[in-house]
Amino acid sequence: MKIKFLKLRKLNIKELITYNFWLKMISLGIAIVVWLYVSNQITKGLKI
Amino acid sequence: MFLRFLNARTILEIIILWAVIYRVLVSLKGTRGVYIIRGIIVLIISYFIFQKLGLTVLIWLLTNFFAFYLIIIVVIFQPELREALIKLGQRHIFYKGLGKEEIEKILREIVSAVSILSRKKIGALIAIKREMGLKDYIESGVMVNADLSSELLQNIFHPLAPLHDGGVIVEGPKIVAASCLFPHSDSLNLEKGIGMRHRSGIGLSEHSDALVVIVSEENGHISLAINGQLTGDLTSDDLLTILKGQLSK
Repeated sequence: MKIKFLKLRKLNIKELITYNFWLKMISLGIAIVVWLYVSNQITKGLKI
Repeated sequence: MFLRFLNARTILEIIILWAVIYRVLVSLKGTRGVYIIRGIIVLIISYFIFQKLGLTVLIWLLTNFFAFYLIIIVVIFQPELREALIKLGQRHIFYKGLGKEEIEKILREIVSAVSILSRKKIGALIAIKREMGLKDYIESGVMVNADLSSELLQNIFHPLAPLHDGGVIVEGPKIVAASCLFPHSDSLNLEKGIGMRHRSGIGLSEHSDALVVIVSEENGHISLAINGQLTGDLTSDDLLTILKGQLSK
């Protein structure tokens, strides 16, 4: 039986950050807003 | 206020949310799905404005319409949503770029095919996908999903081949689709004698960030359309240099 090994590609940190940079920033912004809104709603619910 | 909540668990939650939202946005980019996001944003902004102004009737209408809107979205965009969910399971959540060697290999195959087609005066239209998705154009053609090679490109554009009409879309090391319909450019600045193949190439480069290589069947001239601008009469070496420069940005 052949055993396949995963080929790990060299991770280019610069490209990891710069590739689709603005889309990454926008999604980070949305993620923070969503998190704040949901956690706010949960705390409100707990107070009741 | 935000810093008060900041701890390891919060950061983990935000990173997971970020990854999911990023993947969804990437898969929606360049598709009709962008309009869903725009619609949702307009509804959310309107909701907050109505809430501030205390317009209860409009809030009621909007809340009920929003639920209805979500159902419509799920029904109409079922294929896109399915694809977005599939992509969530892919490796490299934040990374999908190609290495320099891979880019060089892809370009060598494309330029080799283009120079042979140019010598034989066989028309060709090749779109190289960059960041923006080209799903709508891929769906207009025939799915190929084959490893990119000069021979395959020559075969596709052979005048007797069934897929020679229309454009080929290249995504990374794959020929994704052939015989695709590209939008024609409506630009009035174009020369009157310019053919439909060139118009389609320029049109696609206006509607997306793709690089479109065009070979004229009249005179075998090689042209390249980038952002709605056509550069004509290129040699294969020129083409390779420009494409390399554009793809390594």
